[in-house]
Amino acid sequence: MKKSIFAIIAIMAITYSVNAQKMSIENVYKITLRNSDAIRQGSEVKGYYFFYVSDKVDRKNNEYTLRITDENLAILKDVKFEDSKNVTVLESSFNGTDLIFLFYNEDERTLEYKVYGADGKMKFSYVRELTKKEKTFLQMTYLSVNDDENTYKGLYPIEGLGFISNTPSRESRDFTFQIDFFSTDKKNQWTYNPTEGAKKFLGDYLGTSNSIVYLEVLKYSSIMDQKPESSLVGLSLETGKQLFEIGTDSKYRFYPSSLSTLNDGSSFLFGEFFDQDANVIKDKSKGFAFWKVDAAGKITFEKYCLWDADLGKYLNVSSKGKIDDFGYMYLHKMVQVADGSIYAIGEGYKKNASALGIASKVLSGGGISAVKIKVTDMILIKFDKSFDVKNAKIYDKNSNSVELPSGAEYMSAAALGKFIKYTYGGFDYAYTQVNKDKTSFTVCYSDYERGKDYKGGTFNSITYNNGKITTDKINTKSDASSTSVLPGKQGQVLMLDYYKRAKRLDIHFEKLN
Amino acid sequence: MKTARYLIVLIITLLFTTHSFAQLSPQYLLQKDDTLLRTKYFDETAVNEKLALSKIDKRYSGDYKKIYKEEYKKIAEFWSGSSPITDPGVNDYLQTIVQKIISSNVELKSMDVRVVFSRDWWPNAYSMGDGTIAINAGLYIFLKNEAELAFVISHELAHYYLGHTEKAIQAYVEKINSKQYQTDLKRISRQGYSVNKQLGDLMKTMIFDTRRHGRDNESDADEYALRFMKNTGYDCNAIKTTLQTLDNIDDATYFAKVPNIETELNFSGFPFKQSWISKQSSIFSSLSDEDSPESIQEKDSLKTHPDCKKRILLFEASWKDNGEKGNSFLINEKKFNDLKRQLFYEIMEYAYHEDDLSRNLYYSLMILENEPNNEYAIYSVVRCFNRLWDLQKKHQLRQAIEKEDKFFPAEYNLLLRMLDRLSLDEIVSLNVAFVSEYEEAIKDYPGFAAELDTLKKMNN
Repeated sequence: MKKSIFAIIAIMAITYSVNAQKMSIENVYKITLRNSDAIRQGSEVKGYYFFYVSDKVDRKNNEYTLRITDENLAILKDVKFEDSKNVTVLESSFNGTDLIFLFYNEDERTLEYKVYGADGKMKFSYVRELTKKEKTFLQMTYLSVNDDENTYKGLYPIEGLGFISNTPSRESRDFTFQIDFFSTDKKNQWTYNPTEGAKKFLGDYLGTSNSIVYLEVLKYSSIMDQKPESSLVGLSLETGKQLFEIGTDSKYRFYPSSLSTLNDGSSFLFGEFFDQDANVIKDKSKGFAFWKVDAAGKITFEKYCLWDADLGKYLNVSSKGKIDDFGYMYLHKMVQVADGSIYAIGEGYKKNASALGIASKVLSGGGISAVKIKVTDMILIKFDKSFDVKNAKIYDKNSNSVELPSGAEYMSAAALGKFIKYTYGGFDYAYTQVNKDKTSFTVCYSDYERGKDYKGGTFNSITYNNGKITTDKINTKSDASSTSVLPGKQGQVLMLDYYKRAKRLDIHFEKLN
Repeated sequence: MKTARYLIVLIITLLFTTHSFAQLSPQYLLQKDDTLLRTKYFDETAVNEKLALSKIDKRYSGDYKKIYKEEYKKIAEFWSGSSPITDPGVNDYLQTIVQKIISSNVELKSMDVRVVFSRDWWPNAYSMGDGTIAINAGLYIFLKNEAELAFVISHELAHYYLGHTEKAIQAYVEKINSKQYQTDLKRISRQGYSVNKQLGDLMKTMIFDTRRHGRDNESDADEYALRFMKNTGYDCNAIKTTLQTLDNIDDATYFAKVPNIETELNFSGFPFKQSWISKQSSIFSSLSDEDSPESIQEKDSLKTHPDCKKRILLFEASWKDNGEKGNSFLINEKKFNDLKRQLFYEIMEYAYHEDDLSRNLYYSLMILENEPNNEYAIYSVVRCFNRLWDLQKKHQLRQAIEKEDKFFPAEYNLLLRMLDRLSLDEIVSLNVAFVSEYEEAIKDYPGFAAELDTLKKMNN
């Protein structure tokens, strides 16, 4: 405010452009925004980063600026550094005390994890060198999915202690995954990289509870194996040592997809379950299950909800889990609110015949699957504290299709769901945010409308607030050349409107009602 | 007989009705415009633009034309906009002071000036280069006497008299067309590498230079203002007191007490929630000054104005107080003081009309904190919450609420944080609770019934 006191109209050097024959600062000055994203601590947005090329240093190197802002976009720090021109920021995360960025240097074949402390200064840097095979494998998997929702990203905060990273990896002829833990209080790292007993490993990081890192691992005896072995692995957070590995067979065959922590601090695994002799990749699931597993790998609690018997009370659902007009359900997230109720947030998908796939088979014998996936509506299922279904509601949205590669028609619904999420980023679900006292949460997802009054993208929300559920919608189509949406503080989103001609990026928050 | 009794009842009813309205302060309306005067000023701007364009230096006519067109566009927008206060009740008082200064200073007599109050909240006054001078109501409400107002006017008249805007434009155009500047730019653009860094250095030098001239201009304007004030007969010590006020302007308040939203918006039916204002933990907890891109020296060089403390020292060096006591008031002390309250209301009402709702609510709550029975403030809070709900429902709230800023008062930042976090339902609940508390006091206030109807519809 003081700056403008008693001003005469100031003549700012950079405000006026001049004619083409003459040089002006703005027709020489160039910066390029490479990428940007929200910095999250769990579901809470703590800030944003904007990574841009601020100068060219020489033929091979650029000067970069990593701008870090708080959750209101107030600038906290500009980190400037010089590096190869092929550097990108892949991910970021915040664990309550420290901030981590994952940089990928294509030329040097390195993944570099840089940790910044509360004073904004770099504390540690962890470098992972990639072999040529690993680089190729990563480019086919981890680096190839660039969806807005960052569904495939795998950098997870461990409150006050460090970060867990999950990336695909390749050891000799085996395809596997690598879990890294990066400590933030001292420079310390461990790596878990299974290579024994199978030719291919797929690993999902489920979560960390009571210093145990839970992983769901699928082991394939060969690359073409269609019936992988499913197991639950527990690692010590302190050392990375494997504490247990148990098969996921109990009363039923369980296929956990995530881990959630309840309000009392205990954690449970959730996911779909199958008959004991079923193939989790091909067969149809019976319902969804909740497990609690202790530090020794012992199952201390298990609960199974059948599609028809339990969910069927509220929705028209078959014993195979198919809900009328909705299809199968992919479970994105579970949230327990302050009153103890648990909400499951899911999205529907259906197999449909693909005209393109059929034509592809007739003409060339392969390439595209004869079935395609139709992603349908959102669903909210309410459970009580004992995991009994208490209500379920479907929230309509417009469907969209995902073409699949040949062979996908033989996959089970559960496996297809994971395939759509992690390989194609095909779901509309974006993220869920929960407030601190757990009295409110907001589920966000994108949609596309083809109405009379409006045709274009929308960003939608389902908000739970002290027992009341409301929905809202924001039209994302504007006169901007492109618009993207990032999460904001709970109940808000950050809209980024890019105007190509004016080379302008307008950033603003929108509140969700 | 029947008719007579009926007439008596009617008269009594009328008497009571009149009486009940007389108890209420009228709904505040923005001062009416003097349309003729605004049109006259607008037309004069157009004439001045033609004149300025006809006199530009032919060497760099393209550059000059572009800049002058931009500048005159801003001035035309100012006169056609709703911020200037041309109502004779307000404007006549200002013009009397302006004329007093001009008639007392021979060098100003031929000047073509259009001085006006603007409804803007921020404490500022500015000369737009063609004789248009605006004094924001947000500055006026902090002035203590007519002499301080005379200093503000004199300072801006001095900028115009000394041709600072024209000189700044000329310096800028000559700089960007200079051989050295063009050679530097061409050299940098040809290099291909570290281009932005070199451009940054070049730009910094240019901005430092421009700002240094700007600071010199401020000191020159102060010096001339002293002369104009002295010749007019105003107390020149007002220069020092005004600069002292400006030095602490970020903490200045018009009323004795600032709003306390935790008590003002706390109701038994809907208690205030700490989660609306609690501070979130930040990514970085302790960033030092060295993290700032500019050094302290650079920051100092980037200022457009010298520090008020430096200006006070310069004033004291040039002002020999020989005991000649000028006047704090020459025109009308009562009018000066009455106008402060009126302009505070203008700022508040204008904020509502411009959908600057966070400001409107802040000023309404400020009045209420100091005058708990002020009906206009009560009405204004209800109306503001209704409008906030409406805009939030339509996803248009962002234009109406400012973002927290370190230069804003702490209490205002708390209100901004709260507005940023309130859900649609909470806005309605808060307004319902507020109305329950105050409804009895303003149930007959003009416009309140309509706002209450709107609120009831929102609450259904």
